[in-house]
Amino acid sequence: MRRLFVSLCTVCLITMACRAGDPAEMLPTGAIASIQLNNLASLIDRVEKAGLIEAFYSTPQGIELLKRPDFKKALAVKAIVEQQTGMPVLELAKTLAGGEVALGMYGKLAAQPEFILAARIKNRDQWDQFRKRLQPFLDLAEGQVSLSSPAKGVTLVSIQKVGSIALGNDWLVAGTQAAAAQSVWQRLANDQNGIDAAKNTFKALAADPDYQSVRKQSGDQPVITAYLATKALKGPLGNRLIPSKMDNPLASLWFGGLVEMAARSPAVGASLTVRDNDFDLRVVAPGELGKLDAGRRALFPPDGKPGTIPFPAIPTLIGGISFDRDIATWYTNREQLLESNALPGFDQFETGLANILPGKDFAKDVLSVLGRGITVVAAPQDYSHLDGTPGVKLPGFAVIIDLAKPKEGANLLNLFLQTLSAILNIEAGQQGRQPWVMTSETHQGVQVTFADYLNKPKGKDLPVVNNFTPAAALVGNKYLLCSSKGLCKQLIDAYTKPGSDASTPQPAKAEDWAVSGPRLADALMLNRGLLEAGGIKNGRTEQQAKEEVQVLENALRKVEKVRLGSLSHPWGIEVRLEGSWK
Amino acid sequence: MIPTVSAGPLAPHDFGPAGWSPADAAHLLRRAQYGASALDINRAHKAGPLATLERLCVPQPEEPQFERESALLRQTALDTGSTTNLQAWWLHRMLHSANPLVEKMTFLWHNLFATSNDKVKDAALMLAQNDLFRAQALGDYARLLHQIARDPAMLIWLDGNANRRRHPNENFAREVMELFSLGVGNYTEKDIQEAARCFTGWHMRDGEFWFNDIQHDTGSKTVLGSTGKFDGDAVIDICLNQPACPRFIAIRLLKTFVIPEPDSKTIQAVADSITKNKFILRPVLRELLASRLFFSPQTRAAIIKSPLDLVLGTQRALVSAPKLEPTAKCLDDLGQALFMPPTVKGWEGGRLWISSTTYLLRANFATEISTQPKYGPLIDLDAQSSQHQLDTPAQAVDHYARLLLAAELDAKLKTRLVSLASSADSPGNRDRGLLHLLLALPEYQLM
Amino acid sequence: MAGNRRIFLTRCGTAGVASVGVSMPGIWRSAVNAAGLLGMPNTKGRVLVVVEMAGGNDGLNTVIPFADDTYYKARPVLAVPKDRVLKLNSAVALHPKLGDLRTLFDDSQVAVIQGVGYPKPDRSHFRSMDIWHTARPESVDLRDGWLGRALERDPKALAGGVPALALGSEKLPLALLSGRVNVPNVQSMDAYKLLPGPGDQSAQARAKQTLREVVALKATEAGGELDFLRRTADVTLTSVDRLGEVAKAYKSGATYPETGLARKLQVVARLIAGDMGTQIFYVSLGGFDTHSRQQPVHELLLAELSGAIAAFLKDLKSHKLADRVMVATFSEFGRRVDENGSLGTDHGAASQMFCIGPGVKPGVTGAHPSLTDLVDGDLKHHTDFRQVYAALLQNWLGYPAEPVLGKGFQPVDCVKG
Repeated sequence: MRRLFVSLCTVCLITMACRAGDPAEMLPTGAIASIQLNNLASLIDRVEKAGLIEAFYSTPQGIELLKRPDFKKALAVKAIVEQQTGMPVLELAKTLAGGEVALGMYGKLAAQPEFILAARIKNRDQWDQFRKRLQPFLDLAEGQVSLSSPAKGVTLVSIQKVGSIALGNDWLVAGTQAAAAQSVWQRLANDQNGIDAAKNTFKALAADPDYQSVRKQSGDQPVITAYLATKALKGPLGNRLIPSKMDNPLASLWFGGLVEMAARSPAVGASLTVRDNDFDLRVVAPGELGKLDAGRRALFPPDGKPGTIPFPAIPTLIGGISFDRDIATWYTNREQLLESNALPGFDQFETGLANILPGKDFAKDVLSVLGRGITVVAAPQDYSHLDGTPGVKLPGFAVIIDLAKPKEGANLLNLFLQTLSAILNIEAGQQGRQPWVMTSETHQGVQVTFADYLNKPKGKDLPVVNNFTPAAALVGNKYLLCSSKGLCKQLIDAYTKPGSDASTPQPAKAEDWAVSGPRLADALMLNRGLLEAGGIKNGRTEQQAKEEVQVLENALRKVEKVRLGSLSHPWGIEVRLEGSWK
Repeated sequence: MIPTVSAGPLAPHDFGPAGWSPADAAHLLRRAQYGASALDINRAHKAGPLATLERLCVPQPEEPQFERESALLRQTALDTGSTTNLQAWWLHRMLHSANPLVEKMTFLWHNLFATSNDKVKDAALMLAQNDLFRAQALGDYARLLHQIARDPAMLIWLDGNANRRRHPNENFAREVMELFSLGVGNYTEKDIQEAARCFTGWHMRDGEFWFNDIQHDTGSKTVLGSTGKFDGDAVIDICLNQPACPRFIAIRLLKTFVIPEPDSKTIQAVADSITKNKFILRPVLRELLASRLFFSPQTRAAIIKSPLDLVLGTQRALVSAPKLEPTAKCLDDLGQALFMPPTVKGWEGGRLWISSTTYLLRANFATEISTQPKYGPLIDLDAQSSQHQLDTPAQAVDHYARLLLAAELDAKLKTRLVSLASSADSPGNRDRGLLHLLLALPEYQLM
Repeated sequence: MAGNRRIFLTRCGTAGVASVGVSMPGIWRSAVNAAGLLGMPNTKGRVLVVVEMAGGNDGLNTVIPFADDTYYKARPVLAVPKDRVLKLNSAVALHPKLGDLRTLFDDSQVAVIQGVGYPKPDRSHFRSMDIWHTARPESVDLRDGWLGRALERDPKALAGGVPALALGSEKLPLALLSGRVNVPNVQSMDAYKLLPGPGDQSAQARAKQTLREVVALKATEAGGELDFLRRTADVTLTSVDRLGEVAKAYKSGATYPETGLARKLQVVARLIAGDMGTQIFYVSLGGFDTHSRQQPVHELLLAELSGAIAAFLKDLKSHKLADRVMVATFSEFGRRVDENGSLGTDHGAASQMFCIGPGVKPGVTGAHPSLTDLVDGDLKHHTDFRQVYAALLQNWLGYPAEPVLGKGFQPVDCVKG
């Protein structure tokens, strides 16, 4: 996890300079998948200059990696390569892959697919040097490879049963199938030698309508883009990449709609854009939401509606998840959306829920009062309800439920809370913990129902359940269910502030996840000792464990915000991961 | 140190003209702590038997870093209340403490007064009980027996609060005699019923021992032949005065440290030593671990390793920085989850450790240790190889067999191991493969 | 797979006693001899599969006293209408979801033993389950279970191997616990595998071969710890290989439903077919604690139970193994006669057990307990569960029941003579 984070930061710290053409111009049309890199050199430069690589090698994970035998082998190979080419591997990587690079996959997945790689090299000096250094090897390998010069300034290396590589003045084409690769290198050779004739006959992937439909939606000046022709995959792997019915209800509710849209779309694209202080990663799938069945259509905002309720404006918000789903429609259509073996679980769920809401039916009484929006937020909590602190200090959590029928809904949820509270009290009694009583007070004219200990639990290692003393309130059509009274009041403040529900026009979002690095760091570091002990449990020394936690904290504090959203547009859907750092 | 002069099996061992060998040192270390590294064996061999025993039996100062790490893990156990974190805290001590014999004896008490967090459900109380065991690890058993009768975790575990004047609960009284001091056959059901009356009102309140005098039966009782208005302490003293009591403890010590099935004469010799030392165990252990019996051929490779001996011992010998949570999980799978004994009888050990399922797990543990850093990274085999000049397969087999096996390597077995080692394609793979096989051997399950 | 090649334990035949007699303490020998003299059946190669229905199955809605109006009065909502029940005789019927079981009943493969329980019934899941597992209602002694104690009377089981096996439980069921016999608890068959050692495939094969060879070496001291360890290691490596082979060779002779119990029983069938020499299998089906909205959940569970057992027996029959196998079901208690206010039922007492397989003496044994003559609103038992255990031990598996159960119980007549 931590390693992932470090690499994420590495990527984030890199900026892009200029945008050249689309590398997919170099690939022939008809690819089933492709990846394009644009100006990777500046990314590598950034990593190098920021000293991130050295920094990584000095972390415990880095040191561990350096000791591994396979890594030692990799380092040996690196040394040989560097000696033979006369340049450091990073330099080599920048030379070969630093400009425009495109890798395409052709044919069929089930059969052996063919690959074409094309690269345009920016640094001519380095490239010339590299080609010179390469010559002796090619000579040595005579017998396995055959060399020719089919055009001016072009060296063609044919390798038996493997494919061919063509090297030009400032480009490189490699392919597993000589004929397909030839169309590419011929085109580049013509360009290089000023011959226009053949250019027109070359049909580039970049001109493919499906490719364009996803490329159009990529971010500004992306450093990496990827393209997958979903329609081409449908043959070899059966009708669809993903089965139409899921066997996990939560997965279906969560991303069943997105998956279905991707499966129906002719193509799926991804793009990564990195700027000075932020990045965005987008995955897009063109298509029409209107063509979805009712159950899955319910997982997106209605046409023309913004969807996803903004997070409440509380100053200390750590992060949250916000959904916009027509759960009732999804629920009633579950038999079309889920495998039959997942369905009995619903009955069991309804039975279980009826224990807490006696005499109520989930589908009839509960679903009908719910609105579309559910928001879960986390924020710091005070421990005023305790005489001490829990051993594990969790942030406060709140679930904000939008109600279609606020009054009935609040009654039902209050009933739920009361029953749950009674059950928890019995359990607390059995385990020798203090019970609480439900009481209420008014804040900003809103009634807050909350649990209150008559005898406050005392001690500094209180059980983790003491992080939760429920409080609830109804503000407008929003029912707030919080893990502490303090957070509940903060939310009431946020929702009663004038103009709080005026939101700027935005694309329709089905869901939104956001987290603030510094605030997450604050919350995590309340449990610093636990994190350090985690390192010791992993075999680290105390010193190493403390350093690791510090690295984590520093990294988190650099990350201003990370958010993940799923958006629906008139042209299709998009999942966007955005991050910003200091 | 002045060797205790006594005759019979406990007479000090004479190492003879060959002297104290590395194998002798390894034997002592494998029994008195959880396994031994090459460095441990070397150090003990250089120091000699007396200095080594001295180091093991006399409290050694702990490293400040160890103390800080241990404190962090302890606080984590308290904060989370989780059994896994309790286990991690204790495993860390077992692996890294400068007083390994103290940890081994602490476990002996945990196993004797087996209390499970499964029922107690309170990390603080489990830790307090563990501290009690550690404080008397090589100390006073008689005092420990009195203390454990008032220990809150024990009171929860054996339903102390249910033991009331008009409704005595025999749970604790039974176990005091059967499992904590005398053993089956040394008391009658009537003794248990009477003893239960003596412990009535020994309750727990707000996490502490509380003598609930209203619920205490003040009448006259007859326990093991004595009659009087006894309370719990009196019962414990009566038990301690039974000849069966030192024998009961002697059997535990012998089974843990010396031999799985001690004969009656040996048991009596150790029991006499316990009586003579008034249940103070430090001198008893020092005598036992230096004895003729301890170093005799019949005690070598005689005990089936418990999961703790197996897993921690392997890590001590072969792993540079053990990972504690996977270790705890592995111990649980093998049947020895610390703080979670299966019943009040504790872990019976011996052959019960071994079944098809656990043997398979032990063999798979051998694979995991030699192929992946799941339990911590393997020591640098290349460095070992050059340090100990393991040039030929036979040298490698000899080196690792001496490090890992308690018994001399059988000739037939050696032939097969050398042949296996010779078939490896590189020295690194040779030693890795060799370790895998050595750890999976039936011989490796013995210490 | 010829049945006569199987290595099975002979506990009661005279030859068996003679061959194991030397290593058996006198008391068991006499017990075994006594059993032999009583003319016990040849129980060679028989297998018992215990199916635990955890949570307290509603016996009244399993075997339904449809002819008794009291049932319909006590269960205004939960009662199964007369026209839907699967009648066994003029008094009782099976729940409609037990159709597969009914087919087996018609095929003379089901014994329904009514009114089973024990004195002073305990309504705690844990305590009552402990009582069923230990067969000791009188005392809290959890050191061993009834099946574990039975295995201790089997010298072959004491010597190792896999005499019994629990499948899919998180830990070994108390019933199989013994201080002297280690019963493997295979949580998942996928995990019961030897990991390949380091190196490439040929190195792994060499290591495994070497390990197989060295564990088969004879220890110098027979009966010593090393000897014991080598034998166990040998058995382990063999059984792992065998289980692996069994997995490959076995072809299911029935289509099992997609349920947890069916998956477990399919593995059991595979192991029986694979000649593992295991006599006792233990599997559990949970979820019977139906305090509220009982109907849909209980129906699913009954269907799971019935479908899985039927497929299991069909599969065994196709391998010509069914005659050797008996399935016995139990639950820690039944439920109260009256339904409660939340469309469910609360913890009760007496209930029924099923013994299923070609070896049972088929039919309904004992009367249905009266629905009006109750203790604290619960059915009264007329058959002690240990009488059923006695039948399973003595008449099916051939173990002497009395030493296992502490005293003599008249076995219920549910095993074919």
